[in-house]
Amino acid sequence: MKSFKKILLSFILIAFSFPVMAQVTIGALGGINFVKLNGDAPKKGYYSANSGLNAGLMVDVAVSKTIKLSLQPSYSQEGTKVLYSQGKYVDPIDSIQLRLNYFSIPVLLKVQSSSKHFYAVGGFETAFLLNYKLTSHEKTLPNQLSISSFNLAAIFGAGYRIFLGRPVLFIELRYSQGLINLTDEPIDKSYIPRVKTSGFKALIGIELPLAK
Amino acid sequence: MKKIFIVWLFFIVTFTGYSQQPPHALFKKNRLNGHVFLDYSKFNNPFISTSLKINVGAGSTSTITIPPMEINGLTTPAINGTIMFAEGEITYQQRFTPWLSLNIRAMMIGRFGTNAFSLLYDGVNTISGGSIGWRIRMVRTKKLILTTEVFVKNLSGNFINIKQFISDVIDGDPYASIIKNTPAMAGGINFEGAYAINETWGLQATTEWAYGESFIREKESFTSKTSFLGEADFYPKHKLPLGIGLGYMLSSAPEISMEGGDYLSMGLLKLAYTGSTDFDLGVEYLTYKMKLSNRIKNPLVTQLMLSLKFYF
Repeated sequence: MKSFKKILLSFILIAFSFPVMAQVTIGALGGINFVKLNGDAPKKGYYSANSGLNAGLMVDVAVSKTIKLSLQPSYSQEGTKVLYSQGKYVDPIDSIQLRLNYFSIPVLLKVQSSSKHFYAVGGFETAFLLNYKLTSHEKTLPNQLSISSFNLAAIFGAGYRIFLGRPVLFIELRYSQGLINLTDEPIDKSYIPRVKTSGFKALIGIELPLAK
Repeated sequence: MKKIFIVWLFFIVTFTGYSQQPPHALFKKNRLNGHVFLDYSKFNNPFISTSLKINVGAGSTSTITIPPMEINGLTTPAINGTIMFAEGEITYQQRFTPWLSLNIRAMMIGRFGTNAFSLLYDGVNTISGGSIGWRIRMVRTKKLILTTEVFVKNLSGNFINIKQFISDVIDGDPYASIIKNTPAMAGGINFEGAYAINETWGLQATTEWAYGESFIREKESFTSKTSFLGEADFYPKHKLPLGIGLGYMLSSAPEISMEGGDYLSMGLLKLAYTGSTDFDLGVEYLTYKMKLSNRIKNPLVTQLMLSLKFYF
């Protein structure tokens, strides 16, 4: 929690010291994560997406005419459903749900296309696990998983800007691919064996240039 | 196989007879020093564009000898059989700037025995998944272009092993499963280069390095692919919209070898129609020796791929 406060303080410091520079944009964003776990599934089981919330702030600093460096501290809910195939049912049974709540800091580069509306966004997202919850049929299961407190993901995406005078509305679709294992347990001994996160994030936000 | 080539050549020659050829200068696709570069199924060319590429193909091995195998005390005789391959791939590239694009690829490969015994031994193996990556152009001169791609790929191998299933059932495993699913995530970088000698002749080379999970669990590994290609386009000098490419690839990528770890050498011959400003259409003949576990002799695989790429 101490490190979380330090990161938040650093962000506020950066956000308020940058306005002295030209070409700085601040903003807020929110959206839905369709991220699931991907990797070894338990026997007779497989993963499906457990959608969650994503909300955060952003500071963009222009590196060149077309490239911006973007810092986006966010609260990000990720997770998965584990579905089990059972002989007497045709469809798999939605048995276990895992919810992971992260404080994440994506560090991204945005590259603007010649149209000024369309842009590419890519980089890395570091995430710190705040807490997690394992439930089955609305009952909370004891927290017996050994889940990594840190996640690192590669981000690939594209966005579209709509100019509303000075403020700018944007929509973005990102693909996030986890690069480190969240759990590393044998298949036979865990609900969630060796897995990484992967999936899509659909975001909408507003940005405000601080200097023209 | 020969018949298909003859039909293809006939198609090309006939097409040439009554197609209205667009001025070569209008080509908006892969062009350097007047040479239009061909596009291949197993690797990207280094040009940044908005495009959609579709590859479909099939192939088979030479006759393979399957050694005697033992299933819980019962020994089957050594038998001969072949293995078929079927493959489909779709790649979309979105250009953002002249030096940056996003490349998204989805693919599926299937491998299955063609008779009961080879099916029993080898099962039905499929690899599906895709990759996503940033392509960044590093150098472009009149004759040369170099591009790099940073990517992650997520593959899933489904291995249906009938022999293992029967063995597990006999051993009383309550969770005996006929399908074994193995996911494998890897990240990597590749470099692609093209050099136009003149408007007819061109050279291409690619190298890809990736590190990550393999289909053999508990083992992370490096995989690599390196290829060299020489090609000719007869349109600029002879007004014949035919391109020919000849290439060699050394690869340990699991989507080709299906097992990973072992290198295979691949030879490639491509014939392509080069008369369109908006698309590439070609057929590729691929041949390689595949290392398969527990075979007496490694089989020769021959494959035919149809490749179509639209430029937007």
